[in-house]
Amino acid sequence: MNDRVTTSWWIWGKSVRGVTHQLQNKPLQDAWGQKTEEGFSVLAVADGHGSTTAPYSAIGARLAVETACDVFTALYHSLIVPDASLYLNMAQRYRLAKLQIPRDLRRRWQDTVLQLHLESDVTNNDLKVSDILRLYGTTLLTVFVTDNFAILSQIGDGAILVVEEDGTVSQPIPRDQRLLGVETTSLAGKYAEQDFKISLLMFEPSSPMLFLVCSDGYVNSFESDEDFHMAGIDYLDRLHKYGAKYIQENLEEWLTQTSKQGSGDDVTVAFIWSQQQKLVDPKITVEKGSQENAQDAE
Amino acid sequence: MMAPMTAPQLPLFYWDFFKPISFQQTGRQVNTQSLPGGKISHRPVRFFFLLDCSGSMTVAGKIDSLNQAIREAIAPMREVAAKNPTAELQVQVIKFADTATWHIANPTPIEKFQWQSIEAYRDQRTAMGAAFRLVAEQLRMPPMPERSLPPVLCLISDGQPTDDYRSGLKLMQSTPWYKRALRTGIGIGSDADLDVLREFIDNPEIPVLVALTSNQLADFILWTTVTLTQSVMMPPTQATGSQGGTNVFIPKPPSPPIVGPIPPW
Repeated sequence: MNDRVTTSWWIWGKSVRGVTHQLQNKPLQDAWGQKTEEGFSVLAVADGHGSTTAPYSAIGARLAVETACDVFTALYHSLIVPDASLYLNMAQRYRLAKLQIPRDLRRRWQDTVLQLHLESDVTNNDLKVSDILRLYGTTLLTVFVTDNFAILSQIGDGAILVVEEDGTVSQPIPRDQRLLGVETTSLAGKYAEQDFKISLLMFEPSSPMLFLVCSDGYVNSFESDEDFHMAGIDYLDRLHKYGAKYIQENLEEWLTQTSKQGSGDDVTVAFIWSQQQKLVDPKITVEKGSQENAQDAE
Repeated sequence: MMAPMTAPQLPLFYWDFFKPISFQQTGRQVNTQSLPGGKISHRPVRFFFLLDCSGSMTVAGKIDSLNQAIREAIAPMREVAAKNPTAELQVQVIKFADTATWHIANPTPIEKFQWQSIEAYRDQRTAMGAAFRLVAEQLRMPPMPERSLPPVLCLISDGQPTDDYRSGLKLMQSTPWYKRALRTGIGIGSDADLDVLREFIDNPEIPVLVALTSNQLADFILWTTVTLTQSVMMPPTQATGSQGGTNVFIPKPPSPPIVGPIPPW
């Protein structure tokens, strides 16, 4: 096999229970997950609403990250021919990003939730479908990344940052101006597909960069967007200086302190950090989305 | 057989289907000893008093009862704040008579909040609309931070507006935080204009509260400043956007007033 340049991704994340959830005796309602195969990685973060109308939102969040991993894997294999991912034309990318992803994520998650609910909670079987979905309401933020492009998707609050090697930070999907206070759009919403925000990012295969995906508990802990965006620069700098293991060892404590000094909400932060790597004999690696199964590409 | 296409060497750029990139920043010194990111702080909760100081408030000790009730609410408000360590309760006060002015203009953390008595102005009228316009300025972003928790607006009046209150109300309604704010209206005495208070509250879950005694006034102020504020300070996330929805859980208000044989107001 010919040598070729490909990218490896270091993926890591952590969810911590917020102080207000401890005071209210509520469980952790955030979740994150990831999946990597040859040619792509997908990272997902979800934040269950936690309101009285969404008592099963922690389950909804977990299902959302699993759904995201499955949907993007299926999309990759069905639409992006292996070894030809670089050649997907612009129209196909656009269609994939704008139309198919929101539809597939919404459908798959809602189908999974309904199936689970009907199997496990027969006492509530006379609820309307929309009412059942609301019990599991959650946000969902995803980064799907290949060697030369990434698709970012978001429904609800939270944020995705892109940090380039020169320290430039951007938030391709800006804050939804309709949402203030404690409001969010939801994967359980009737019009969830319209509420998705999508961004398509293209880059040279050799461009290393950091994607930071987080729940709103993290964003709302900072006094301003500028203060929040500085976190992206700090994480990338620490990755360069101290390596991925340093982040893995300290992330939980940093998030716990950030929640305590900040919003008090559950906090999740997860990363994809791309590193150029020259492979002679690429091996397929499959990782099921789980906090414990992070790829270590130090 | 066709030769495979080479990957396009594109500069980094975005296809954003909605809005341009929101922020870019370079060249910051990094402090690896601290938590990642810039300044961290609790989410603010702004509490606004809108207090009637018109001539009629000089009658039957109304203004003294109001001062006393607010003074007595401070300690319970501090307790609520202490129990909710991840939100910062901040108070601002507007008084209105012939005109509306700030009594406490800066958002003051409840821990530092001291009540300085307000006076009622004999022969002055009720410029409630002007008070609404002052609040409207504060419900924009900025000065209200985007990450705030919903504000609480507490309007207390014993009469009816003498200015064009509707234009002030309309201005307030045009701000992004109006719809998310919890608004309460307390009428002092039987001459209070309940329709205007209801219009201000604009929420069927929150009734107009009518105080006919100083004790009732104290109870209603306590419900707003403590019970309702507590609900705002620890709210769960609520799904909204396309599917609509409420913002904050509304606790049960105090029981309807029991009118004694000789209500003073």
